[in-house]
This record gives sequence, C-alpha cells and structure tokens, in this order.
Amino acid sequence: MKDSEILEKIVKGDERALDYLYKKYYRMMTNIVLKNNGTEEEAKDVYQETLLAFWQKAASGKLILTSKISTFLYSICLNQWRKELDRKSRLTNEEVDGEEFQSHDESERYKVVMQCIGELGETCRKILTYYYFDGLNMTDIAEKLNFANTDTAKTKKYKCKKKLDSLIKERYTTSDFFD
Amino acid sequence: MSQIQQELIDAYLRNELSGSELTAFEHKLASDPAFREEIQFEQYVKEGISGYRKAELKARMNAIEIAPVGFGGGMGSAVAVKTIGGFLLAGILGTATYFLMESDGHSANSSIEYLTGGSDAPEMKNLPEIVVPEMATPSEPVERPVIARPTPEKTIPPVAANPENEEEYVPNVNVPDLQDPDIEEALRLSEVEIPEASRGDEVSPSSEPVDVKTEHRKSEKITYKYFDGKLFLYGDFKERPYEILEINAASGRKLYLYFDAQFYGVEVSDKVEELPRITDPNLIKDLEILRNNKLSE
Repeated sequence: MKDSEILEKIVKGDERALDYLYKKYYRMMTNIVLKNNGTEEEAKDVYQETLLAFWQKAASGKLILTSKISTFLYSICLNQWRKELDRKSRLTNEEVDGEEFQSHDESERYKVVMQCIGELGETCRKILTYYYFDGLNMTDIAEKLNFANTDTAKTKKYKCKKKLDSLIKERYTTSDFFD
Repeated sequence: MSQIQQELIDAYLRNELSGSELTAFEHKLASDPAFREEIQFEQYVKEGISGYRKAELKARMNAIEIAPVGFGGGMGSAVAVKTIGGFLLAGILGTATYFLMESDGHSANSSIEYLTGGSDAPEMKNLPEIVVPEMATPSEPVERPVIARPTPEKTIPPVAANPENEEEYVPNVNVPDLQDPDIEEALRLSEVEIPEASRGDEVSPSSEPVDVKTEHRKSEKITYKYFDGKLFLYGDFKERPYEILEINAASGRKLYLYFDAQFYGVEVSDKVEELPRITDPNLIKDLEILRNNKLSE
C-alpha cells in the first residue's frame, strides 16, 4: 500500500491501515528502543504510543506529510524514547512516590470515565471515540456509522455526550471528580 | 447545556476556534471560574474518552502476532526459513524424480528385487542433477515473515473496566501534566511533539479536481481549511451558491472562491481560518474574465 492510500484509509477511520502499519514497521521502530537500552516490552509500548499519536493526527485530517510515513514514525518514536529515557534518569525515590500519587489520581479519573463509557451503547461509544480521539468530522462519522445525514449524527453525538456526562455526575460530585 | 454550547466547547478543545470567537471564549474562561471548571470537566471527559479509544486500539494491535525476536535475530530466522525451505524443495524434487524413474517400466517388485540383489535388477541410470537453490546470505537485516492473524472484521470488544475487579484494569496512558497555574496551557498541551504544518505550503501537486466539502454555519463570514487537495468550507451556502475558480500557473495551482459577488483567496491551511477577501482590483478583473469565460462554456 502506498503512503497516500494508507492516509486515505486513516482519514476514513479504517483501522486496517493501523494493522498494516503496525506489522510493517514493528521491527524498524522497536529496534530504536532495543538498541538504546530498552526492553522488548518498552519498545512495544513506545511504538504503540507512536502509532496512536500518528493515527490521531492523521485521522483528524490535520496532518500534512512532507516525508514518508516511515520517516515520520521514526522521528516520533525516537522523540518518545528520548523523553522516556530523560524521565527515567531524572527520577529519584521521592519523585517516584510523588509521580505515582499523581498518576493514581489521574488514573482514577480515567477509570471513572471509562467505566461510564462502557455503559453506553455501541453507537454512542463509537461516535464519541471517533469524535474526541480520532478527530473525525461529523460528516465522516455520519458516513461511517450510516446516519441519514450530518445533522442527525450531530444530534446523536450531543445526546450521547449528555448521557455520558450525567452518568459521570450521578456517581461523582464535581469536587470528587476533580479531587 | 445546549447543543450549540456543547459544539462551541468541542470546537475550542479541538483548536477549531479562531478570530473573535476564540478571543471571546478565552476571555470568558479567564473571567468566569464556574465556566473554567466546566471546561476543565469537559477536558477530563475528553481525555477519558481518548484513553478508552487508545486502550481499544492498543488491544487491537496486541492481537496482531509479530514474529518474536531471537533465534539469531531477524537475519537468522529468515535464513533458517530459507534453508529449511530449500531442503524441503530438494526432498520433494528428489522424491518426484525417484517415482518418475520408477514409472519408466519398473514395478515395485523389481525395485525390491534390485534392493535385495535380484537378477531382474534395473539398469542403474544416472539420476538427474538436483539443483538446490542457492541460499542468499542477506547483508542487511531482512524483514522476518510475519505470521499474523489479524481479525479486521471482528469487532474488538471494548476494554471496559469491570467495577467488581477494579484492580485488574490499569490503563497505561501518557497523562498530561495538569498543573493549575496556567490552565490555558494545560488545556491545550499536546502529548507528543509532532512537527507543525506551515501555512502557505505548495498547493496539492495532484492534477485531480479539488474535493470540496461544505458545512452549513449560520454566520456571515466564511471560514475554511484546505490541505492535501481537500477544501472544507463553513458558511451559509444554502440560499446562495458559490463557485470555485482554479488558475494553473508555473508556480502551481491557485484556488479562489466566488461567493455573494465577492472573490476570496484559498491558501493551504490545516487550521480553520476566515477566508480572506481579494481586494486587488487587477486580480479581481482577471478573475471576472476567468469566471465569465467559464460561464460561457
């Protein structure tokens, strides 16, 4: 598949393009980490984060590629691993505790939202994730989920978001959520 | 919250606001604590949704089997596969040749007699030389064949946290550092440094017609974004039509929009911006001629 074909698929939210890229560049990208003091597990994590960052940018239609996809992925991957190495080298014991405490709070918040998303119907989950993560526009979402038109999709998205917000607020007060 | 308010907040969080709308929004954010808290809530929900989607996509990638590292690394494994393949091929060719020889008037019994030294032993014939394919020794790392079992049509079940087993589900995501002092910065931080697109890049080199998509907005001004041969227009086009004019010059393709008796210039931009009006009288004159020629075709 040519790069332009891959990008076209990603803009339409076709996840097979993600599968293709993952397999095609796995070795090349994980080698960056493996050859720089990383483990196979770390390499896989960094590569997946890289691909997700690329996917998000490309799916939203905001990416203007001026090089090959592999070159682009390579530079993101390298950056990601450098940041990770810097973070690891700066950590002291106290900082580790502090960071874990902070991550725990944020991870709790994620869990709250994720639990509530899990309780939504499949269509709502898809609309919200396509819109808020993939960054697809409502016209593409309408087409992908077979809505009659863009306005119908927008209304549905609004209702789904409202449902999600109320699920979160039913269980947690605002102060609990922020604390 | 109304649908319009929700759409405005979404546009802000997606960096799609610009001009006076953005200024007004930021002003309200700075001056209204309740509004700021509401936007913070929206940001957290957006991050939670993103986390959910990331977990879903990661689960999808984890389901794809990649050949493991080891066994001499990528090179060794590829060579091993080729070596085994070569031997198998040689074995098949040898067996086929043997049976072909047998079918040339010799029965199985005579074969046995030959083996036991019988008098009707067939004449020894020279077996044809079996050509074994040469094993190529790769000088550079070779991509290992991937034994993948993708399930593209299968719906990957969402990784939903089970309230009863909270400890099982720990999302591994990069979380933005949400320090209070600079809320605007915290809200608009991107997690990964990705090279920013520059404005005014070359227009799409493709000779294919521009793909135009319009979205109705109840606004006097027209906003747009244009990249990679796709033009997105946001405005009130329901009652008044628009025209796209294209000039192909040595420097590249230039696009203009004619709407409501005005000409507007289209430049490559991945952010939503207001469409700039053309004010140069000479250019307007040229565009009128172009438009009139087009209408008379």
